[in-house]
Amino acid sequence: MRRLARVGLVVALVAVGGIVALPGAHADDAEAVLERARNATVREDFSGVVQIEWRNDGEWYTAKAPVTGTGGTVQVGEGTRKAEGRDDERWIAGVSGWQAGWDEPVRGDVPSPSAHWDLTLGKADPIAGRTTVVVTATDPDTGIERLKVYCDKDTGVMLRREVLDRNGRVVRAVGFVDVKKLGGSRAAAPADPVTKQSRSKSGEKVDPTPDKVTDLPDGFDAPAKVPGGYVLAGRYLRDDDIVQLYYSDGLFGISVFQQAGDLDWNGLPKGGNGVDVDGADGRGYAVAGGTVLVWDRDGVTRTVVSDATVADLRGFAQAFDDRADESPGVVERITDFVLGPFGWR
Amino acid sequence: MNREPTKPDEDVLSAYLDGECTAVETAWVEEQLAASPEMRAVLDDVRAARDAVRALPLRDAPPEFWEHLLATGPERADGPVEDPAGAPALVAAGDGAPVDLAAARRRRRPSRWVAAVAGVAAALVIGAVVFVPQEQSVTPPVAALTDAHAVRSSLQDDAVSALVPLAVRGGFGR
Repeated sequence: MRRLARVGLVVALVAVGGIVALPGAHADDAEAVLERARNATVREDFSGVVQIEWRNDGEWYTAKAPVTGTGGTVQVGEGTRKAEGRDDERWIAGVSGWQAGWDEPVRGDVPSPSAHWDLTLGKADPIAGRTTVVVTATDPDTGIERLKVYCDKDTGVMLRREVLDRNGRVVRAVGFVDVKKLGGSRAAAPADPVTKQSRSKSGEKVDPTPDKVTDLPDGFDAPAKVPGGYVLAGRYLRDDDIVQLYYSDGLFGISVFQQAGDLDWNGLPKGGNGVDVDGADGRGYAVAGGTVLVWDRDGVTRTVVSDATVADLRGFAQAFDDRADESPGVVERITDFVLGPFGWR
Repeated sequence: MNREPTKPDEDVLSAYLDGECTAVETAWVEEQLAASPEMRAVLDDVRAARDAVRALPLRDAPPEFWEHLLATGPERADGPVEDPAGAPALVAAGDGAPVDLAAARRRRRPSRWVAAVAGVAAALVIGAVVFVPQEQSVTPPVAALTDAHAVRSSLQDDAVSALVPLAVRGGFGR
């Protein structure tokens, strides 16, 4: 009987522990709130309007788009400019119709945000009429706040994300400005979009996802870690032979695109500002899609994209180049190959 | 010593028109042209034929042409050099010494070793072009790469905030 009582006590404790571990119960845990927000739009139905704001050359720019979440499918935008996501699939619509953007799971691990950032959780003002909590990420080296993520207290859905520069000023934000529905009953997911290029003219299925690769072509570098807390979470080879690397520090994702060849400056989009990347000329842009930095070094042109600031991307770029320098580049390897037999290395 | 005008050599006249004659040859040709209506008539014919050929449109040679050329080229180079006009004209140089025009033209042709050196040099140049990486310029499709980042980012971060950039205007200017 005493044994039965002990078993009952253990079962009760496990049950209580299970309740405490349910999503939402760890509201005081900043990292748990972030993790909950990461998948909340899949768990909850919602509709409203999101606005993206970004600062460029001292000017603020804004753009709005309707957004819905239905049965796990997220739809953003309308008309000929919209995007949709469900599980590991992504579609993008343009004037020519829907095109598949991704259709495979990603397996790269994203590091814990607290590994690089000091995270705190606090109360915040309501957003679009919803009660929120805010997770603030502070640079442990400078003590300056660099990111704020506002989440709906009830559902955990992220309602606003603010990126702050190295002076603590907001330079980019995206979030709801109107919430019509959030939580409650769920509807069935809409049918998948009919994509234009799902099959080639010969009838073969077109794979929209870039190839995951283990070994990169000669001359391209993919350091597993980049100083600043960034961890390589995926490497891909696109159909246009551009290598894409995806890094994350748990809060910011950065894509590094690499092409063989020197940068053709005349082909770059207008605008942007000159940026020095550790002695190499580069150009930085701040647009709705994020912050972009383009530069070339040693015969390789690199384009990095993120929602981090240009200054942060510049620091990442320098750290990436330093790590890349630790392995011989394409020019160095070819030079060795050509001149090696003559003893001219 | 002056010679009677020889039978007009079309090759010599063609070389004259192309500016390939030496000063001695040029002087001789012009002397003959001044003295011989027949020579002037031949020169006009050569000039007309030359202009007509140059006016022809350029066409790609069929593949078998090059195979044939490569197969027969060395034999022709090794074979006897004929003078179709049969007139390797001996002309009087300024000092009266006879000059063999055909022999002089043969002397101007590159010798075999020069050709061999030139061939090796050409092979090296081709090899350098083919095998040594050339400095090429690339234009990153910045807007497309930005979209690609948004797609990839939406798979591991909040999907709404990552996908919004794909649905709004505010891209790059051109």
